[in-house]
Amino acid sequence: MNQTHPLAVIRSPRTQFWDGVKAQIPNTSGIMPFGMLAGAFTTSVLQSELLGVLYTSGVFAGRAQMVAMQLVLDKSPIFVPLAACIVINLRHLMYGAALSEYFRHVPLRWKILSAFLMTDLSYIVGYPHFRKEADTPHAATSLWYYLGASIVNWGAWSTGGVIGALIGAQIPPSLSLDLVPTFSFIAALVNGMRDRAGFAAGVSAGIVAVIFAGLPWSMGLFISAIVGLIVGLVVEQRDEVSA
Amino acid sequence: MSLSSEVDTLYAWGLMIGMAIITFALRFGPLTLFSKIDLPRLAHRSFRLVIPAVFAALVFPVLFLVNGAPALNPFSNPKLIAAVVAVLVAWRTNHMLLTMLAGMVVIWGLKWLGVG
Repeated sequence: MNQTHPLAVIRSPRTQFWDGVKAQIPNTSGIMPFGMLAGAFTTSVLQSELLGVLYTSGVFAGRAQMVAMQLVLDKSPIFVPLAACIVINLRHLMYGAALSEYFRHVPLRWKILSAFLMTDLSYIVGYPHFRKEADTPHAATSLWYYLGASIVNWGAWSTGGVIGALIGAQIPPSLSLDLVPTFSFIAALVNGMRDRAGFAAGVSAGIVAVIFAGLPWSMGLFISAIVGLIVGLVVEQRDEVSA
Repeated sequence: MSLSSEVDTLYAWGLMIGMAIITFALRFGPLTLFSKIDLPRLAHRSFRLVIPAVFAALVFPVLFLVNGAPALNPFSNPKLIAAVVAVLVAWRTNHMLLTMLAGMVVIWGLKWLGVG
């Protein structure tokens, strides 16, 4: 026991995968109703269960999907929802950039799968784990934690999407299920705002987002995220100088 | 949920394929490009701040606006009351499911009481 070779204690891909699954499971109860809503809304707008399922499981970008369907209802030309899709999903550039250093030696096929599965929730659960294990022997298998957390997320979302597509427009609007993603994001938001720099980033991004909410194609979302990042960095810098 | 009139089949499929390609490219691009080059220190420092910045930008407009106009009166905008409860639960538990449930239960409760 006390003479174990270091390699022997590396957490196996299987262990990592199941730990990732377990970490994500509590979040599925928030993700499934949102998937249901997206599937139902898309099916009712496009009048096709197949398309409802494909948009939900295949595009796998709920926020962009909801906005796009609203734009389809408004009879926008196709480039408008496509542009909205770019702007709303720009945040994945930041997630991808943050995750990239842990993907240096990952084979292409797992990079492709990891990219397809990348969402707010896979980032929230996966990124801190990559960081935690970065300078440990477990770094060699951290990817499997990310994949476990991400696949559960996709599965719950897709299950919701299929149910939503089947029941179509029968979800009563009085349930306010459109607020489910907002309240489920509050946990991550509050946690990210516990220190001064994070707090400054959140408050400034939030205020700018409210001011720019009327901009077309959800442009305000991206502008306010950038403002929040800059304000957070400035506060962090000042705290370091005065410390 | 309102049903639309006929949506063109080509439009519906084209939009779906276009959105799938765009979304995948935005997820795959930096993941594979930046893993080959070293990002500046500034970039690494900003990654930690991505979550509060992006999520505040997603959450604030939903909570503070009603039909695009600022709504700061909690009696006409019960989302604010629910958000305060959700923030307290998040602060104490750091648990996503409990936070979401707390917010939704308050929303349903207030609706049942006839607030908003």
